[in-house]
Amino acid sequence: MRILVLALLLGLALLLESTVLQFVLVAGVKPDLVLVLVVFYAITNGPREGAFLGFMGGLAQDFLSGYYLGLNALSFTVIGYLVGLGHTRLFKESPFILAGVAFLATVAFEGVKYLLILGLGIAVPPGEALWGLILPLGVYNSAVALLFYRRYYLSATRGLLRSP
Amino acid sequence: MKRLRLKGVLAAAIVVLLLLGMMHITGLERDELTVLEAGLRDGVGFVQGTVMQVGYQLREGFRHLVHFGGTGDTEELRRQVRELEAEIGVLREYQLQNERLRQLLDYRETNPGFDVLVAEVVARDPGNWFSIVKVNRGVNQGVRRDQAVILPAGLVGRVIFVAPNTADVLLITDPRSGVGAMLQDSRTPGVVKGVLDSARPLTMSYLTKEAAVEPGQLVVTSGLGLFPKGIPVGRVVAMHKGAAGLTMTADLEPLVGFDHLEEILIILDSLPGG
Repeated sequence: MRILVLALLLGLALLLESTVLQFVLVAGVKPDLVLVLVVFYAITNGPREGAFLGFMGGLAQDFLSGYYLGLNALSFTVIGYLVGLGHTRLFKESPFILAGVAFLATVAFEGVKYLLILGLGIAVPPGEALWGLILPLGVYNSAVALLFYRRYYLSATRGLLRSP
Repeated sequence: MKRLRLKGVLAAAIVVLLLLGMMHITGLERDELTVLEAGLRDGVGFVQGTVMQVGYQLREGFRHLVHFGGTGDTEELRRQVRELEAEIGVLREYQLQNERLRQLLDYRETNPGFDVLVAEVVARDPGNWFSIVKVNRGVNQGVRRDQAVILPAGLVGRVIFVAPNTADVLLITDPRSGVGAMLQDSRTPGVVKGVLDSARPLTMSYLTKEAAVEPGQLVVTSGLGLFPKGIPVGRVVAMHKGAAGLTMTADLEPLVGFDHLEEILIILDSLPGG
């Protein structure tokens, strides 16, 4: 049941990102719901599971984009694993801590992606990437995390997303 | 235990290498999509298109929704007002769509040199790095790779991949896009590229230092490369020295609302004598 709900959430996040989230652009960026979901899941379930969901979510996003298959799969796996390391070290009940983690995870995730993009021969100046995308997206994702984390945490501890 | 860990590391290394390899062979340089990818795009495109249509209706409905409370008899009237406002929003959405389509039709009639096809934007790239939109026209409707995509206001981008009933369009605001362009007045050539900056998403590079560049000047396609000559691209808002100081770069204000694309025109062919 938990796997099914996670798959549905991933599918919904990707569908929204590729369609109507365009209506809620702030500073030219839309929130990365898949990344927020991976951060939530990794912090409540640990590095191995975080990396697994990151890989699946990233691969699904790669297939939906249709270009550079593996770019998101690799970046999300790394971030799922890194955030999962905080599973036993961070106070998971606080949405404010999660908002901070979401900000740092976004910066790290987009940083990894930026390096991979450079490796693919796409030249984007670092200042442009940082100010035009990475920092605004970090703030936006942390706001989304702040908004939804309590609901997710309740589901992960007492609801449909509870670990067996 | 050590052997197990070694196997795990080895497996992870193989997966990483595989993914890196996949990344390199699935870039924009590919000539065409596999049958599986084309089918997947068309199938997902249908779902995305439906969601977008619902989204447009909801957005316009919400814009007209009145939020205020009340009790007693007035509450019923207020509820009716809210419902009517939502209905007006939906009708307004149809009116706006009608106006946009009429503009596209006018463009077709006033530019007989181009054989154009109207297409609806059904989806966007889910990420933030690249500017790609998916439209609901493909090979079956005569769309081919590298065809130019425009709006009456100016250049939008070019087709980069086609499936039977959908196509992907690389917008000129994408960092991977490059458009051969020139200043309309002085005919000074340059290259327009996309920038990750929502305020100024276009720059024109490689302008000669002697070029008379001034704010407000119109930039049009030069005809060198894939795009027909003379299509408006943007307007100069600022100038500065290029990276090595040998050339000038101009920041451009786009003429098209790239964040709000709903319908676009694909130039299928430039007709002789047009």
